[in-house]
Amino acid sequence: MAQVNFDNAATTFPKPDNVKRAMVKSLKKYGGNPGRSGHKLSLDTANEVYKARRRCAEFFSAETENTIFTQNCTHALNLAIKGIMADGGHIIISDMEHNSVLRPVHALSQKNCRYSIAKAETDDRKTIGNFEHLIQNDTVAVVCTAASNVTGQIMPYDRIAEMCRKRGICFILDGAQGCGILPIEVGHGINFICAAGHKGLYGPSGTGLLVSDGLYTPGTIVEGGTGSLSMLAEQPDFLPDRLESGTVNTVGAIALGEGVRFVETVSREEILRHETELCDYFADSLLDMGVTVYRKCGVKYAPVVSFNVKGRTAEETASLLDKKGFCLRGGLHCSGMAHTAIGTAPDGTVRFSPSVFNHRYQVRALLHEIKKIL
Amino acid sequence: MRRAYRTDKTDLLYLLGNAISLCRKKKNGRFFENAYNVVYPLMNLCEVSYLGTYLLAMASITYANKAKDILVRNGYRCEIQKTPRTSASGCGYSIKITGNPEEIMPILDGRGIAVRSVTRIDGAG
Repeated sequence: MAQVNFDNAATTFPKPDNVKRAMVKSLKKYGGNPGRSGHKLSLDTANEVYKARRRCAEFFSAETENTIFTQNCTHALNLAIKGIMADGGHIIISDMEHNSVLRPVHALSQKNCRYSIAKAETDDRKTIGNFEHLIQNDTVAVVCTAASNVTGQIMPYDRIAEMCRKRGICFILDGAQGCGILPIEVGHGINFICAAGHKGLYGPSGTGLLVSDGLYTPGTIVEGGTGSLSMLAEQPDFLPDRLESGTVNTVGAIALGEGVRFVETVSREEILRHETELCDYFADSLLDMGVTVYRKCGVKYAPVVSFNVKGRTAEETASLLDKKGFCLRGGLHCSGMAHTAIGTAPDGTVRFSPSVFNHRYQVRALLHEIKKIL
Repeated sequence: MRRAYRTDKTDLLYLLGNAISLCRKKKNGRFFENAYNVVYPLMNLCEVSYLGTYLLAMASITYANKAKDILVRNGYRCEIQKTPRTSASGCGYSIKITGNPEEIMPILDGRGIAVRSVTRIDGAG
């Protein structure tokens, strides 16, 4: 039975044809190690990686050299958070953050940092106020997700970033659920964007981006070979080399460039419109069935819907739907703090997250199966 | 947008043709035109010989590719190669380009591309 993926918040699947073609072509033709040797194979591969880097940079209105390829969004967040907090201080995060934000921040708090958690409200002004209230004299950074991976709530990240800019505080955006659908670019207070290459940017797994506006030079957490200044024991002080030690995932990077091209071609707005339409149809239908849906009026949502079927745990519901050919994620979604905030801990929720490749008839079929298990 | 390279052989042939016309003193009423067509290529040849081939050393392959991007858009032909090991700090990549550094460097400076060193490699100067 063909599986229908409604777990695109975990990773988008299927991938666009141009991404698949790029991966095959890279494996066949661009097998050199970019930025290491002077032969044609290495230079040709480096050129392809550069073109992908440039495309990703332009997508986020950044300079090419300030766009770093990472393994995933978690890796990007660790680079940014630990790099900026290298000298200690205070950091603020929201209560909707994924463990990829909470855990590195918490790990830092065991050493030389302190952190505070700002409550996300239905009213954006209150959310911004909650962040502002927590600022201290030694607040170095604020980390905030663009959209919750549990409820889909879109945070007022742009206004929080502007608030940070006015106070000289570094703002790090977790764009895992927002990149590819929301208007996200560096500048206007957004100093770092951490993106998952394999979600809304439709790249392969094992890819991510850390995009910088160039205002901060983060400390390093990984040092090694960069193909530059090799006689020096110190890590280079310029990007991307400073934060890109070792051989980059060339196949992944080149394919990620094609994923971004796909998003540009379809357009963020159209992808958001399509996915939102499916989510609204799904959420409204669930409510008509008497299913608990974790959405509130007056809140803007990214295309993610969390729900629970009465009498069944989230894992049970997801498992039953899996047997019927529908892939949804049940549980805590690596965001225990967010589930605590919305009152669904410790069992979690079932999460529905479509992609641009899903269709209304698939959602209808899913609803039919959910109705059977009520 | 001016080319930093020339097809010297074409210029030479053109110059030769017009010089021969002048020497034959063809009474075609086009003496001054032919004279101009001898003098002008000669001036260009002098200018071509003024343009050298240089290696512009960059911090990394990313900067080398970005610099190449920018220079190609400005009408230059250039290629990337490994920087010869003349630097104490080690590995890097350079842009090999024929042109006038006084025209090339401001283009890169204007885009925030730092050139670590400029080395002429065509034996002149």
